[in-house]
Amino acid sequence: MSLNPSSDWIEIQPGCFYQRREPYNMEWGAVNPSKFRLVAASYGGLLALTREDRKIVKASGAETDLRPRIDIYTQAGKRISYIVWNKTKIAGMGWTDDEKLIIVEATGTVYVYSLRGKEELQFSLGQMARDSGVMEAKIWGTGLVAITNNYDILVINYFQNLTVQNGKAPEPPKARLYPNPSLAEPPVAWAVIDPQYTQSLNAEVIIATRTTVYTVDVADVQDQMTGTYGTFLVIVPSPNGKYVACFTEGGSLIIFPSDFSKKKTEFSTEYKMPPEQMAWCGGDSIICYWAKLKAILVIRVASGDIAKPYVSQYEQPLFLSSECDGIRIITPDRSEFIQKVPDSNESIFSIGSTSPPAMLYDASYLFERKNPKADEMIRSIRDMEFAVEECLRAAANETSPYLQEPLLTASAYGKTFLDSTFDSTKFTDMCKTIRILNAINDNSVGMPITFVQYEQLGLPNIINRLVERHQHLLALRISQYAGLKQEKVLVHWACAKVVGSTASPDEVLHSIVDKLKNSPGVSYAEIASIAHLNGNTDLATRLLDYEPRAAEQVPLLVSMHQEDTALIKAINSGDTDLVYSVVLSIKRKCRSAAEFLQSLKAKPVALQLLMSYCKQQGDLALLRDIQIELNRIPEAGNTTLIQAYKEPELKKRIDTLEESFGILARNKDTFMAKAVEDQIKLLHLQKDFEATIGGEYVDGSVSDTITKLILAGQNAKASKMQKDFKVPDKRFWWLKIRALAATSDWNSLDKFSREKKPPIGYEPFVEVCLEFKSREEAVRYVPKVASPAKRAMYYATLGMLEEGVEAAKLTKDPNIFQQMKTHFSSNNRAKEVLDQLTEQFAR
Amino acid sequence: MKPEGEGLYSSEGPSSGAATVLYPTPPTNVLSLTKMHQEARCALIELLDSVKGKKVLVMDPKLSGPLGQICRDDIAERTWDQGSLENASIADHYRVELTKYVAENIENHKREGQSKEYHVYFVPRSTTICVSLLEEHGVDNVIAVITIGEYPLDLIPYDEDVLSLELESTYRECFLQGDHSSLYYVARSIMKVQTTFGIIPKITWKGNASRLVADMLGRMRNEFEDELTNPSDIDQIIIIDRQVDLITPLITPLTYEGLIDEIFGIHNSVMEIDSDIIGSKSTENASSANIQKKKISLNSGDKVFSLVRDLHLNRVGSVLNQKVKDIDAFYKQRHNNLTPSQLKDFAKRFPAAQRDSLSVSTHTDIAAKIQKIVRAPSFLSRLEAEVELVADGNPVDDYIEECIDKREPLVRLLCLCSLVNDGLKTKKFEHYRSGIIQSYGFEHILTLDNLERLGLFKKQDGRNIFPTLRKNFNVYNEDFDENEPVDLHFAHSGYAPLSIRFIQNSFESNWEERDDLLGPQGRTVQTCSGAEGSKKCGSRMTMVYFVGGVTFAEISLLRWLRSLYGEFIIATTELINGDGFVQSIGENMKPPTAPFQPSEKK
Repeated sequence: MSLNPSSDWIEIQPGCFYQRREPYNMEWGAVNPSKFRLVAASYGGLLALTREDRKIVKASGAETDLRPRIDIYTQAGKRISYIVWNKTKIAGMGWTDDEKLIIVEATGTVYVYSLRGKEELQFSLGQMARDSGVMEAKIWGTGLVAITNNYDILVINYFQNLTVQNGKAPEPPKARLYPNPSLAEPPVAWAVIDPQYTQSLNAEVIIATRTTVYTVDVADVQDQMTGTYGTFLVIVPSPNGKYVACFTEGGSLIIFPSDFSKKKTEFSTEYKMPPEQMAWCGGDSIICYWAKLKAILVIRVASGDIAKPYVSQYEQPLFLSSECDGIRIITPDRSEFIQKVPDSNESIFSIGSTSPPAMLYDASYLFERKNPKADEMIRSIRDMEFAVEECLRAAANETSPYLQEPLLTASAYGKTFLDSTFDSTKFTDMCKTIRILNAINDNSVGMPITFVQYEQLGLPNIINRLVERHQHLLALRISQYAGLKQEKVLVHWACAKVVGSTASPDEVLHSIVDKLKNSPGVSYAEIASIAHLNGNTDLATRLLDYEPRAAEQVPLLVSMHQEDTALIKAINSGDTDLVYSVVLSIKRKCRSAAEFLQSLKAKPVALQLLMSYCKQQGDLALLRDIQIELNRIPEAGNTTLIQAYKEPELKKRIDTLEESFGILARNKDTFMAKAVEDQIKLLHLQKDFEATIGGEYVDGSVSDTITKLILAGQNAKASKMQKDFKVPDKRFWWLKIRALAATSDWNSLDKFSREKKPPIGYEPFVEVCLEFKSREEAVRYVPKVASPAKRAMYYATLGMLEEGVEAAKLTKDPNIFQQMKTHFSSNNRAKEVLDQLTEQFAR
Repeated sequence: MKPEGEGLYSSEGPSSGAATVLYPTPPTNVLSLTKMHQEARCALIELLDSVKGKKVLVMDPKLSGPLGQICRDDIAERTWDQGSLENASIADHYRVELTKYVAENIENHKREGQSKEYHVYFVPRSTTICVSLLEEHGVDNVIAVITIGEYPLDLIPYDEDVLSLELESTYRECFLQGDHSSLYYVARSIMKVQTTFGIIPKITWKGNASRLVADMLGRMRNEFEDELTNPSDIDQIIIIDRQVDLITPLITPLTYEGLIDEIFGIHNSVMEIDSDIIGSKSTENASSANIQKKKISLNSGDKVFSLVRDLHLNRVGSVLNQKVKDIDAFYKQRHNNLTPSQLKDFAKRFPAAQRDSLSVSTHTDIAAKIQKIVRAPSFLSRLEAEVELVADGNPVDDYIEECIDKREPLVRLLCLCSLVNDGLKTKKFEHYRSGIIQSYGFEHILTLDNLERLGLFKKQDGRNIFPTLRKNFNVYNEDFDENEPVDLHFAHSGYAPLSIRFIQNSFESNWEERDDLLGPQGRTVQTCSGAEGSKKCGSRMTMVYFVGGVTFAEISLLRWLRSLYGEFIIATTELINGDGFVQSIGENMKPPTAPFQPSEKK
């Protein structure tokens, strides 16, 4: 019969099959995991191990360096790097999703290492951690939780960005203090639920004490009242955060939903001792390991009742590491992966299966061997599309090309029986994926990930992991093959080249430019920033010349202290914000304002922006200095004017105005100076008026002041103002008649109209009367209006038809009657009359 | 018998049956601007969701209008619990003082011992100044976690054919303060249009600021090389800056939408009006004391408004009347014996008819109110003065003098007077200047200085080119028919905007020789490295980018020109009217006592 892997399956429960894969033999020379503190990055990532300081390790005699250190290995046990640990006690260690090693020191300092063992960042968890020290810290893919010796809980939910960018060190993350469950003694056990699985999207900390369990999240502490179950000795949340597995002092394994609402299931292991290690295998079973038993217990908890657990013997010590779809077991000489057989594979390979994909697989086998029975089998498949897709999926789930091939063949064979609606790219895409998986699963790369993990992690992240391991060529090939952008890989390669190469800068530059010239999106600035950080400023400058984006060039040039070049590039880009950033950094560097201005003098664009900045910030003093320095006298005078008007106190304002006058008087155009001089005079006068007459005069215009004087009956003073400030007669008349009308002083208005012939005519008299709602007064002045057309319109406005018509007739203009009509909209007789007249005059 | 009015209310809106009588046709969806809409919207939602957990959103009130255009309901649906733990703020970078508030706020929380996470997002981008301000206020090293980000909102679709950056005072910033930040935003937004819709093959620019934008576009092309592959549906972009035509915004428009903006003000395509102006008159005497402001949306979604918005005010009444008749005819159908399918059709169109009928009555009331204002003597004498100035440059001395004496808003007319005469005679200039200070107050002195710097109000020097322009470009024609317009003159009582004339000319083959009087100009042809994709839509499409603002009347005229030049998409830094334009140039040392400048419409 066809090739079938089911013979290796383990039936851990009736009808439930698991499989064990042994991807690698460890190359690390029989390191004993039980003697070490070991952490593994998820998705088949790297291992970091350091000697457990509480355990005695027999020296082999071969070590030359006995200082404590942390070794970093691939899953295949190949060492990539190590870190010499010369600091104090490690309170926690773990990997982020992008394979940075986080180490929390008991002093509260957090160290971030690259997988090459280089310290990239260090920061403190804050004063609290420094003061009391960190008891223990747990790290997951994106963050960490630390419990201090005072039982304060410090949390970083998301490390934002831990790598150097554009020559700038990353912003260190800040820890948040969670509410305190007021513990009296260290927790018996504790665990963290990854924030991506909680409702608040903040990490939840589960703390088991002797009597109960607390769930602590960012807002509050919840006592879960689990006292009846006894003390929980081990707590492990499931990989998807939905459940929590707890091992009690009574030897029971209890599964709760992560909110502890209702016990899901319970199982007694009959061991009183807690397991040394307990971990989830995927989301549906728990694996417990007791060193004494030299065995693991696989307890399937997916179904309600737990049947007898499956026991597997392990003579050697081991280390468990959960994955989303299984578990890795690392022993001194093997790295294994145990998982439930994926559904597609089970349906194809289980003995006697008659599912469509199984039929297709068999049919394909027969077809290959030219057996006519194949045809019969094909006909019996109802859902061919399902069968084709399941075979594809099963192929991806298998790691061995010997199994992948017949499955793909079966899928391709079945595909020919489908109509054109089937999307063939599914097939080609899957083939690509399988090739990529095979490539990275290879021993030399050591990333043993399953198809499910591949889909969760995503190809871009896989490529990131590859370049971080300096597998640039493979990463590039995969990017090309999958049609992803290659720039990131290329840039990373170039950066590594800059750092690692011993060749001359010329050669490095050439080799980089040569390789990158056909990729327009490459960020040369990023490479240059690495060169700069590495102390190779010359190379950095030359690399920067290839960078087309000014926004990338300029900040780096500034950090390289090449402000002049930076300023020119910024100005050329037209991006004012860049110019600002350079100008401000120059400002920070200069000791005096004069020095600062000197360095900007030849750059009008920068100066203009600086002045605009001063204005926005309200830094008028600096603005004026700049203007005077640049000999822009009128502008400096104007700035002083603004300053004057910012003074709330009149005396100070007048003083500043005097100052402004002093500057403006140097100007050729005397208008401004004269105006300021007049204003000073006016303010003095207004101050006097306020003192002698009373009322508010200050800040009014000349016209305002005259109006107010008239209103106050100070006609002599008003006339004097007119003379002193050379107010034209017409304007004075306007002001006076409006003031009189506003106070309804109709007698004075009448008297004023007779004083002499008004220079503005009589229309204004009518207008102000109308404006202040006195029809009778208005009527008085209409006959004196010179223009008959205007007279007619005024009469119309006042509703006086006959007088209006008389005046209008004098104009002999038919349009005037039509215009008058708008004022008689509700008077039909008037409208008729006006229409007739229009006709009459139109002839 | 076919019932009258059938075909008026198909579900897609008014059919051609109605549109043939009415001119111009309402804008069709020229380019799928919804794509830009959606992108902006997704980005906003993504940004808000990126802040984990419960959050409070604090927003610059000035942003609520533009953001309202992007997400009408989504924001409301995502309301957050009060008093929750994290803060997301969106601040606007144009206003440095806001950043100070943000800083103060955080400081206060710290003092009160509240531990929060802060996310500050600047629109459209975080600038060095704002970030350094935050740092200066010591908000970088407190226990609070602060994330600074940006929301790159740029061109906001205000209508089917209008996009705006919603900047403020671009003209002032560029030409008075020499701060070219906004030009960078313009260039960046054009790049965004190109990365969204493809490379625009032809770039025509006019004016000095436009030249800078065109230069930047050339440089940015290199930066975005890898994102620009396809040719665009847009055939050309015309970039024109306000400096080229300062006259148009100063002249009172007579189109319906232009007048609404002039009189009531339009903000974010919404106008506010006293509620007693519209609706039944019975409420008028009921409670005149508590007149409320009513908001009315003005966009092409309102089919009635889009019929009349671009018309001369005098035509609005008759078009609305016709519409009333159409709607009545439609309603009358129910008296006919309708077959079941006709009845179903009737029912389907009924809601649209009802909407239109409501809109007709609203706009009838608004138009009546505008008519009343426009017929007032003061308005008419202002129009008369404007016409005299553009028609033959008559300095309207008496009118200006009288305005100064009476202290009426003057600055627009004064600038217009100076512009068409290329400045005033020295003696008159001095006379007006001191008169203005004397009458309106000393506080206007810096405004006058600004106007002089910008050449808007200045002494005569050199040759006056306006008479030549007037002749060459047929800028004024008193014989225009507002009902059946044949040229641009209908929108501004006989004046044809220079800006639009330039756009018309740029379609001509010998365009370069025709109007170099208006300032420098140029054209770049961009080739496309990618596949020579076929254009998806057949008609010609031009994007016109007004740097420094566009008026509603100019937009109306471009819509009117569609029949000659194909579709237009109008992009701008901001939508302006004359009052807002001159206000932005002013310099208020303190609240002035007399309104030399028009007051701001709230």
